[in-house]
Amino acid sequence: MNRVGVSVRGAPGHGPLSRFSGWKRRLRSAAMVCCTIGMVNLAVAQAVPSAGDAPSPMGPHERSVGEWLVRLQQASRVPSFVGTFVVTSATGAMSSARIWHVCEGDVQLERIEALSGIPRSIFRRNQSVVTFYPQARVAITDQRDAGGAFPNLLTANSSASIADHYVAKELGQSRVAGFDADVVYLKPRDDLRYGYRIWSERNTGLVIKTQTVDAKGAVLEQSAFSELQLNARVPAVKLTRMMERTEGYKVEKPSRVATTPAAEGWALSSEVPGFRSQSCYRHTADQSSGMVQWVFSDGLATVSLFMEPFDAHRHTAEGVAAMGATHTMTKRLPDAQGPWWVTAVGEVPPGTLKALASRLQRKP
Amino acid sequence: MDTQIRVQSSAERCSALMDGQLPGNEVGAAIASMGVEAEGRDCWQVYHLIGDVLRSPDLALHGRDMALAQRVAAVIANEPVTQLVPTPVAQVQSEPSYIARPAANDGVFRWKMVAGWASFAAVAAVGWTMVSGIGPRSTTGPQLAQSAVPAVAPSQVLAVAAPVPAAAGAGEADASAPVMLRDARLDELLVAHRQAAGGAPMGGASGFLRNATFEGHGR
Repeated sequence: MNRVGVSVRGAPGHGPLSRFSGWKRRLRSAAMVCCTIGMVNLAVAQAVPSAGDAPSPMGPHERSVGEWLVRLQQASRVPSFVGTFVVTSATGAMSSARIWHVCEGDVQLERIEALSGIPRSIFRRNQSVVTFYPQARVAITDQRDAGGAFPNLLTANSSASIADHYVAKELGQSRVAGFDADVVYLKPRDDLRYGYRIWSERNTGLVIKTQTVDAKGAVLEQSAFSELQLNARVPAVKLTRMMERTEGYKVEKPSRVATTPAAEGWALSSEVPGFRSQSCYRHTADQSSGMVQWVFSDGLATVSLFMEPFDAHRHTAEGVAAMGATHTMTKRLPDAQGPWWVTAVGEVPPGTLKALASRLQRKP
Repeated sequence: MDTQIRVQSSAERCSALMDGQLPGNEVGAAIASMGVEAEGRDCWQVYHLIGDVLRSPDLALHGRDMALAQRVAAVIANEPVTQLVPTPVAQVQSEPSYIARPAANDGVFRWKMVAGWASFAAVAAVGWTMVSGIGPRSTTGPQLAQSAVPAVAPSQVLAVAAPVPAAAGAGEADASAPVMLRDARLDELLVAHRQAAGGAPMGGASGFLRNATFEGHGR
């Protein structure tokens, strides 16, 4: 629980010294402002002045939520790693994938080979994502919104918002996938969201394990590296080439267009604490009846509201369903121009879905 | 003498067969001979009885019905051969609301964005636990999907649902009553949700990696 001094943690506490200096060299050549712990803390001081206890350069120090988030996010810029990633949910579902990750300068490259389910390879170059389905010979290209996995997202604003709704409690140290990790619990301040236990690799901050925890302390979902090599050799050029190799594949794009809730005639009567509108899409597939997706986030948890015209044949069952941390809620919404069917999906307690869906209003 | 040797070897072969120690080329012959020789069959039964009793003494009380195989064979021989007629279509038509109901991931709903993932979501082991509400209607809802889907889209959907009693509370998922529902439509929306969500603002074991890995969620 008692934190080791920040300046001490900046030094390689374990592991071969050559490895450490190796990645320092690469960092410098990439001219990145990150990863060395002192600088991260410096960034924290600038980015999150309101986030509570200012980092003292010496002596024991417990990080605030904002500091933790900056540290965790910066860690996605570790030069490279290779590992096996396992996701399990409380319902017993388990999935795993082999991960290759490399960061050069501002470019993050990732290759994910699914080890369970339908064979597929997912490549990510910053926000560009290509998913190859070798059996169907289909490749889907997509641009993701700048989610948290990417640099530059964590503005002082969103970080402060997270700090409004979560408290960081350090839980000590533990060992995961052969690495010493600091364990922190991001505890929700209300019952509209779940808590997250996070294992962060001591030297780099890389998140090597997370658990989603409900109010009773039960683990709803867990993601973890079962095996991990930091600073493994991952040739970025090779990953880029693999990502671009779409010959023989039918390349498809997801058919959705960005829009605004107002343009689609939707509004919320009042805000659900912490959950702010992130984006809105209209799905445009062949006969998909103009479904609108409105995305909310409190910085950690995300909720999607799907609105479509009510169809008595298909929309039979109102209610709530759960799969690990993910809940869905379906609801019929009466309207003068004909009823709507609302489906709320998110990694939040059912009450949050209900709160959002019940505030949904038609404002054409 | 000759018989004695034969029986002995038959018993040994039986023992070896049960232990999986009979060479592959002799397995067929051993089984064939046991099919015609009463001693062989008896030996097989007795050895299994011994094995059962060694594993659980309770089984000794029940013994073994030596004539069971013959009786089953006799019944099968006398069984009238019935023609198998595919009747599910008629059953589906008896409920008109089903007819108009397309498969959850049929063309009507199949967004291009999930074209490559629809089959994936359907096959993935997604189990939705009903928390509240959907229960009472689900006796018509999901079960309909079960009967209607093969008729409409035989190759795509694995919508399987268990009868879902309504949970009393609308609170947290009740782990003590894990009623699973598979719903391709929910899975599709989940895919769209994950795509738009981006991921929690953490690198490594979170957000994108989690979404990409969790095949149960169709990613």
